[in-house]
Amino acid sequence: MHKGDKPLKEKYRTRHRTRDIDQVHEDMKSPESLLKQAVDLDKPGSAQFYCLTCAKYFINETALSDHFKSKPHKRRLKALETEPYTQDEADRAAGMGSYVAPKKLTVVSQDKLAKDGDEYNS
Amino acid sequence: MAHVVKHITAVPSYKDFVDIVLSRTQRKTPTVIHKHYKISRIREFYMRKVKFTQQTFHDKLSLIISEFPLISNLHPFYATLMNVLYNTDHYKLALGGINKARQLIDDCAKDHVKLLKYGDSLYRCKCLKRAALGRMVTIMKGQSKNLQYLEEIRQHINRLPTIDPNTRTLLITGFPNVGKSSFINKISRADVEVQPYAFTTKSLYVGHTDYKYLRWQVLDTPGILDHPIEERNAIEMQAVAALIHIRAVVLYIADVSEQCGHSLEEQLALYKNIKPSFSNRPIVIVLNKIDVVRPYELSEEKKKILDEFRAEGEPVLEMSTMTEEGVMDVKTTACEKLLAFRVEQKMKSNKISSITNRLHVAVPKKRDDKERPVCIPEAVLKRKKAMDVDGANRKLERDIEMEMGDDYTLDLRKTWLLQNEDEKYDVIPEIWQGRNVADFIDPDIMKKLEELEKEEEAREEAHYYSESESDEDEEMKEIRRTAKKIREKRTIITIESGEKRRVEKSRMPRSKKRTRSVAQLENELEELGVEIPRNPESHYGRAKSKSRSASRPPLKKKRDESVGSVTRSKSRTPRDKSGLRDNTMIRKVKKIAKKAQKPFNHQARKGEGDRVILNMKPKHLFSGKRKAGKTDRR
Amino acid sequence: MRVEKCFFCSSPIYPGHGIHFVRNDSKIFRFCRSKCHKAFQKKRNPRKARWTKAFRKAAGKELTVDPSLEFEKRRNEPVKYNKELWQTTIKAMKRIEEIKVRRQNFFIANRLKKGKELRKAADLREVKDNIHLIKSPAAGLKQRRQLVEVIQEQDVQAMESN
Repeated sequence: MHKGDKPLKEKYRTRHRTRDIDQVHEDMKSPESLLKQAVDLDKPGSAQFYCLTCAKYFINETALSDHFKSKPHKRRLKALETEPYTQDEADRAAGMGSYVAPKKLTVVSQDKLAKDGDEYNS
Repeated sequence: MAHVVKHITAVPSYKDFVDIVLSRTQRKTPTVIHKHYKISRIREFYMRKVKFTQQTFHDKLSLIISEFPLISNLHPFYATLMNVLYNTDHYKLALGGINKARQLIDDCAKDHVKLLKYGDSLYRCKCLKRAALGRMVTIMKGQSKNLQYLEEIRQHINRLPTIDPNTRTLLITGFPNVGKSSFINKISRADVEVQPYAFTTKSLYVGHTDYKYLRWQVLDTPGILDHPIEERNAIEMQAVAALIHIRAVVLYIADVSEQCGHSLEEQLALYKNIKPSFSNRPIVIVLNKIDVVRPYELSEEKKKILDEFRAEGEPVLEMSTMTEEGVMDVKTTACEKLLAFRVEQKMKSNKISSITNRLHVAVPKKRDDKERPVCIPEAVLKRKKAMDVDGANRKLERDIEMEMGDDYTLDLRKTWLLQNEDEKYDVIPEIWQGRNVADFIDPDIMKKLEELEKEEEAREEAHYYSESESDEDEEMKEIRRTAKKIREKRTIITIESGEKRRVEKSRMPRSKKRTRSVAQLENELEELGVEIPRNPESHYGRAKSKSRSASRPPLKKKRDESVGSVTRSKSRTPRDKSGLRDNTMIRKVKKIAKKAQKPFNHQARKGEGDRVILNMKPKHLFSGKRKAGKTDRR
Repeated sequence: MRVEKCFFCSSPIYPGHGIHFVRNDSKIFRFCRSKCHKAFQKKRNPRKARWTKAFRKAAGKELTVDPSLEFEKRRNEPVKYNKELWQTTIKAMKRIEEIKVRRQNFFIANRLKKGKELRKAADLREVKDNIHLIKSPAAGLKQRRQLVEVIQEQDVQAMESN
């Protein structure tokens, strides 16, 4: 990052941090609290349309469903398919114990989940 | 009155009014019209004149109407005052007349514009315009008296003193010459002329004073409240009525010394006379001029009268405007009284409940007579006691510090519990080559290491590590070198062919220089290790020589110089001399040219075609203060 | 004092160096230098950045599983200080390091063997197929011919003398 690149600098400031991928892994263990949030007028779409994997709020249903079809979302799903990187892995890579390759996980997109839920309901 | 009517612009007389409007029309509308103009244009020209005149009249009259105060909107004090001074009916009529005139002018203009639409010639249009303006002026003429009257009122209004009917006011009454004006002078900044004869003051006088950081008005009303009601005329009665609308404390000033020419009895009578007018106002009676005669020095009869004053139920004060004795006292009493009165009035009004509802003072009551002392648990008390007793025995780190003074260092290791006591102060290694020793600490490290050593030995025996590739033989090295050479050659070839293929230059070389030469060919082949036989007889051998002349005679014969000809000049004739016969002619031509150049030299130009502007913005013309001259010459 | 390992590139961080970042869920991330910190800020995956240890291990570039790697570990077991134990440990550390380095080097050398063979084959092919680029097939033809003539002459002379 160049010293004079102000927009980039702003983007990487701590107060503009978005959720890291390991945090998303944590979120996916208990999605209820994030998917059914109370109305918060400060958030986009009053926090009613949240993409769990991308940690992003959308303004309405269509924007959310469009997002599910989009490249960034699919890329994110792909990235979530491996175990998150941890300090332990860094230590192992440095020679503290044998290195264990990250495991594969199965990730189901939020929209698919919702559909499944509907099927169960119907 | 300035706060009621801010500023009224002067109302011109009828003549000036008409002059202003007509000259304005003349100035602000186009003036020239010709017969050959299209009739629509002529009509438009005159319509514009009529409309403009009407608009100017309208604006001016509207201004007058809007600026003069409406009596119904005024404070009752002012309303009655206006009535007294100017007669409300007359005033209303005047303003009504102006309003009517405005309406008439508007209608008139409308009619004539309508007519102008059908004007068929320049003359007719002009006549219609004249008629319209004439009628408007006639209408205004009818209003000349109203205008005059309004102007008078305006001048009078502007001269009225500023009285705010809503603020705290001291209203001073009493017979003439009892010292009312001098009282104002003492307590306020107004400079009222005070003269020793009666009826000096002729109009309302206002002064201002401060009390409790508030602004107070002091009103002097000469000629209105200084004689009994029976003697007053209708106008004076109304003036009194106006004063009633002011929220004020009334100061009745009496002269004890009777120097004013009225006896104390008369003054008492006047007071009784006036009092009903101010039935709802606080009143203070002031005995003035005590420097001349003190009240207790008066005769018995007079004292009786004073007692009667006191019996009125209002406070009676004494003062002397001459020596300023008691003046301040009078002022404070009066002001306090008014303030108290105003608060009382507010308490009576409807709004008071909204204020009192907001106020609440809580006074908690005692629930019962039970004592509620501070509670300290017993355990705490015990510990406290123990600390008091044992604390002295234990040696604290602090005590050690006090003993040792500056030599003290905090020693935490002495409390360590280790297997061997003597190892307490060992220097413990923490890091070795970027690794933490603590990470390796393991009670059975040696056992594990032995296992590792065994494994290592087993590997050694199996020649696990020595299985590295045998050193390459000479032949292989040679092969690798050759391969490297081949690759280098190939890259050179690709680069060259890429360069050849570039389309920067024309495909067919324009120059006659040959890009391929025999020497080049020879070089290339030699590099590849091919020898070329040098046979001069062969085609190749012949082509090798560089000069063509040896092999082939020149196609064209060289031109020989003809013998005996005049020597040719080596250079071209200069342009200024070409085409001229001889030196005389040259000189003549030069002279003419110089003459022709003269005017251009004057203008500092090379010739006709020289239009160069050397400096578009010469600094000395465009910068600095402009004093003499302008931007193009200074 | 501890020498920590960088979250991103796994290099040692000596005391007084690098940056500690504590995320708002109180997780600590340590970085050896600004390069690693910036890469983390950009949410790069250390497994994908080729210059990190994690990449090298994940991609099989380095020795991953070996008993010599099992000695250095955060055991999270309290052990009281004991001079003898510490001394033996330091001795052992030196030996372990030796063995480890040897094995790692061997692993890499072994891994590179395949490439060497391939390169050798390529060289052989190159020389065989493209030698004409630097050496014409006609090179030395005349010399050889002359040599042949001389030999023939000698033969003729010999025959004549005979």
